[in-house]
Amino acid sequence: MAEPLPAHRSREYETIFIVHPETQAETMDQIADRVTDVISRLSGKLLKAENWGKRRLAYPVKKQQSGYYIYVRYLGYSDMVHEIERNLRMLEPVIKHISVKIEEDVNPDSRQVADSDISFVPQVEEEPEASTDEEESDDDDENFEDDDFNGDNETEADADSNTDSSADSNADSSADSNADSSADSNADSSADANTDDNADDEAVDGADNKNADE
Amino acid sequence: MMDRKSDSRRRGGSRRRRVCRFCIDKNLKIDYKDPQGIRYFITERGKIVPRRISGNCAKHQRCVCLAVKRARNIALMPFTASK
Repeated sequence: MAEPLPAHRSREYETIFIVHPETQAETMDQIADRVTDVISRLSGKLLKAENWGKRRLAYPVKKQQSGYYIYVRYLGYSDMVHEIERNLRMLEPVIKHISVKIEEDVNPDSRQVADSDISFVPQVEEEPEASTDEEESDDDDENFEDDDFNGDNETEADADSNTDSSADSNADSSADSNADSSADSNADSSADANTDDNADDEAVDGADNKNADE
Repeated sequence: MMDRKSDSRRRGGSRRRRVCRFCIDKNLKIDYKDPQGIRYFITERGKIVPRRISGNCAKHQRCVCLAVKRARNIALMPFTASK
């Protein structure tokens, strides 16, 4: 521990790194020690350390489909980020890492750290088998959300047509369906053809209105 | 006058104006560490959903974009997903 940090102008960073899925517990401890050591050596302050457990990666990294995610949040300066990243790069089991600046000008005294905040042991049960199930459920979510999108659009369009009802109601409805189908990539071609016809009608209507106004 | 204006607007297909959800709910956070939260803003193939579809305001779309890109870097989110 060198001299303490100045009262302000310290920055808050967070680093996430992925450790090889076949790493032994002792090696994990060594990595954790290394990181905490770097932070204390450069007189920083470790705010939070978390092990998210073994997770499925969105894409293979170093030919691995999964890895242990470790999350660290700390106060320090840019030299500390460099030092931590340099160390992570040297550590063989660390396959990927990212550092993000969260906040500038942080007073170190304003951040209270509880002992429970710092733990390199996974809080949740590791579930390597459940990862495939998770993937399936994710897909379901996506579909559901897509449905949500369409639902929102429809309700909004309806509300608009109500407010515009003083205008030509036919043109209104055709415009609605046209906009919806163009947004919905799943709309079949027959529906498209219909709405196109309507759009033409609408264009004619609009021209008529213009003439009438003038 | 009003009719003509709204007609021309409608033909452009810009009627489905949605309001930015992050502007409405200030408590909603955009966090790259939470892939479930930003999953709504990527397509099945992993592309970022454009503003005209998601309805985000420019400011929050930038946040979403940054979050997605960070999440991609740390393998929480795919760059591409082949289906």
